[in-house]
Amino acid sequence: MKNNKKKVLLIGWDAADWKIINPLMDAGMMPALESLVNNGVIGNIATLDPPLSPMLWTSISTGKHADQHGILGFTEPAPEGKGVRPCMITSRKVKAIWNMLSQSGYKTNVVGWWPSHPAEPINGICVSNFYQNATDEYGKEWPLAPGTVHPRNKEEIYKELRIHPGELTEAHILPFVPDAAKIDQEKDKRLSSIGKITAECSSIHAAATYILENEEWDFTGVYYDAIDHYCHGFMNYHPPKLPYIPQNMYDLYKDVVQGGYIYHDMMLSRLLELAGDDTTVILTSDHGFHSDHLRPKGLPEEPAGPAWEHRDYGIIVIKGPGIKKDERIYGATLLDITPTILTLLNLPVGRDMEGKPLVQAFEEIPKINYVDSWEVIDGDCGMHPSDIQRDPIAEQAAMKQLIDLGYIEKLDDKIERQIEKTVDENRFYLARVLANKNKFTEALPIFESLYKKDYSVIRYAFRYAKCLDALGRYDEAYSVIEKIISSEESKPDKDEKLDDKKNVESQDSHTDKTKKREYPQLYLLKGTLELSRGNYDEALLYLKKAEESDPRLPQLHQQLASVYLKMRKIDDAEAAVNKALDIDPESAIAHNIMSSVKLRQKDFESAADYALNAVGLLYNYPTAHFHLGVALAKLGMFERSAEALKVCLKIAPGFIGACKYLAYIYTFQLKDKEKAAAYIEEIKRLRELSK
Amino acid sequence: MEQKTKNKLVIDTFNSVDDLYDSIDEKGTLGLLAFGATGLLLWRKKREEIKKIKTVIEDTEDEK
Repeated sequence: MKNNKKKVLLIGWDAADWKIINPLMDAGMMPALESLVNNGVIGNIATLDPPLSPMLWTSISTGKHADQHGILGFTEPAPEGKGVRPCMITSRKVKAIWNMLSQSGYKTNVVGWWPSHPAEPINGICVSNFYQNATDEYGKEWPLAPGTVHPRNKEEIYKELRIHPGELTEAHILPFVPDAAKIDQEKDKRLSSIGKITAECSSIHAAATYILENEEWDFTGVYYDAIDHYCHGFMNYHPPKLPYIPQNMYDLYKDVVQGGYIYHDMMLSRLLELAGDDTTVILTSDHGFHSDHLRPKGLPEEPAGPAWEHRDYGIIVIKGPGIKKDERIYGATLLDITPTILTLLNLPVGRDMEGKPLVQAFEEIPKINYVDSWEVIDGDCGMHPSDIQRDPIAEQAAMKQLIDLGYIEKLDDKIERQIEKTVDENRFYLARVLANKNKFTEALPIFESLYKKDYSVIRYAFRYAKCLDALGRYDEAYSVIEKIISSEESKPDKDEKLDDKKNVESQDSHTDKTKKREYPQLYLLKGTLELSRGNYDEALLYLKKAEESDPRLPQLHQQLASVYLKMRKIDDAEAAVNKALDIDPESAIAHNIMSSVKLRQKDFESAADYALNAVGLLYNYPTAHFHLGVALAKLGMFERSAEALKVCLKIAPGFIGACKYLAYIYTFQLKDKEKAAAYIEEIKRLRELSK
Repeated sequence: MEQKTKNKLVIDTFNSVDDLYDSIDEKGTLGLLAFGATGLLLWRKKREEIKKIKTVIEDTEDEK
C-alpha cells in the first residue's frame, strides 16, 4: 500500500502559543521556527474540551475525539484493583497514525507520545512516554521500565541516550535563571524542577535525533512536553510583571519561559537539519497557554486544575514539498492532523475520523481518498494484541460487581476511594467530550449521576446545569444553580486574598484555596439561564452581578452582548462585545456576536469580516458560517453565501435557518428549482421533527 | 552556581565534529544537548577524557 517516497516528521510541542513565539521570532531569537514559518503555512489550531494533554495528543494521533479513542484523563484504574496508574496506550481503542502507516508498509517511528506506554510493536522504533523519567538519584542504577522501547533489541542503545537531571550542570540552568546563585536551594526547589524538565525533554530529543540519524524512516512522530511544564511552573513570572508577583521573584524567574522556547528552537534546528528539505514537517501544539492579562491568579482546587491556564488556540506550522509558502491557514483543529498526514502520503482518510485534511495548506488541492474506517482494514498495524487492550472504566465496573457478589475481597478503603475518584473524573471528562460534540442527551446521565453522587462538587453541578440548559430544561438547570449558590453561601467565609508569599514560594503555587472563581461563573451561568428563559431583565441583573465579582471574566461580556441583542439594544451590544474583544481578541464567540451586531446595523461587509474571523479561529462553528452566509447574501454574493450556509448545515444538520436561506437563494437568486425544492423538503422535515 | 555566566542560548556553528569536540568543556552547554544524541555522546566522551587528564595531573602532583 506504500505508494510514494514522501517523508513526514510530526513534532509536538505541548502548550506552544503564538502569543509568546511571535515576539521571540521578531527579536530573532527563534531562527529555526522562523525559517519553518517563512517556508510553510502557519495558523492557529483549536483545542478540544477538556484541554487535557493525554486526551488531546491521542486525538491528534487518531483524528478522533476521546469518546472514540478511549483515553479519558491523566490516570486510569490499574488492572485487578491495584490502585491508579498513569493512562496507558492499551486503553486506546482505535488505530493511531503510526499504526495506519505501519500496516501500509511505512517505516514508522514514534518517540515520547503521551500516552504511548507500553511501546507498540510497530514497523519501526517506538520509545514510550515512560522513557525519560528518572526514578532514582543520579549515579544509581536507572533501568528502563519494561516495555519502554520497541524493538527490545534496541533497548541498550536508547537507555544510554537518557539524561538524568543530576547530570546537568550550571551551564544548562543559567540560561533559564542567570542569577541562580542567589537562590537558596534548600528553601526554593524551582531550580531542580527546571533541571528535571530540561533533562527529560533532552532525553526525548536525543532518542529522536538518534532515530533520524541512524534508522530508516518514512514517518517519525516526536512529542516534547517541556514547554507546558516550563509554563505551568513559571508563567506567573513571565513579562509583563503581574502586580502580585514580588519584584525579587520576578527578576529571578522572568527568563524561564522564554528560555524554554529558545531551547526548543535550538532542538528544532537540529531536527530540521536531520530531516532534510524533502521531508514534510508538521509542528503542532495541543493548546495554547495564557501569557498576558488572562493569566489566572489562582487555580481551582480540583483535579486537572492547572488546565485553567490553557488557552483555546495552539500553533500549527506545515512546511515541505507541495506545501504553500509564507501563508496562513484557518480553522485547523487537533482532529485534522491525522487526516492531513494520510492525505500527504496519498493514503485514504477514514470516514469515521472527525477531522478533515487541511487542503488549504497544499499548493494544489490534493485528491482525497476515503475508506469507511481504518479500524476494519486488516493487517499487522503494530497495536498490542486484543487480550491486553483494556477498557479501564468497564473493568472497574466488573471488578466492583465481583466484589459486591463476594467473589473478590473488598479493596483497601484508601485504594478503593482513589479508584472511585479516578473513574468519576474519567467519566466527567467523557461527558464533557460528549457535550462538546453536542451529544447532550448522552452526556446528561453521566453528569447527572456524578452530581447526585456528590452535590458539593461545583464543577459537576456546573456542567450538569449547562447540559440541562442546552437541552432546554431551564427550570431544572436553574434549580441546580440555585442549590450550588445557596450551599456555597452557607459555607464559612474564606480569605479570598491570595497569599502572595505562599504563591511564589510554594511548589503548589497554583492552588488558590478560595472559591473566588466559581462565584462569577455561577452568576454568569444563572444569567445565561435567564437569557434562555427569555427573562432579559433578570439575565442582566445576574450578569452585572458576575461583572462586579470579575469584570474581566472572558465570557461575561459576550453574554451581556447576547442579552442586549435580544433586547434590541444594539449599541449596548456593540459596546459589550467590544469589551469582550478587548479582553480576548482571539475569541471566536466574540467575533461571531459582533458579526450578528453588524448584521443588525446593516453593515454587511463588517458582518462578513467578523464572521470570517470567527470561522478562521474556530472552523466547527455553525452559527458563524450562518452569519457569513447571511452577510454574503445581503452583499449579493449568492454562490459564496450558499457555500457558507452549506458548511453550516454540514456541521449542524438541523440548522433550519440555514435551510431557509438556501431555499430562498436557490429559488429567487440562483434559480435552481431542484436544489430549492430539496431545501424546502428539508425545512418541512425539520418542522415535523420539532413537533 | 558560584557565578553568573553569560547566557548561551544559540547553537554555535561548527565546521566539523572535530571542531565541535574541541570546543566542548566539562560543563557542557544547552547547545550540545540541542544537538541531540551526537552532542550528548560527544559531551560525555569529552567529560571522561577531562576526568582522566585530571586524574593523571593529580597523581603527578601527589608524586611530587
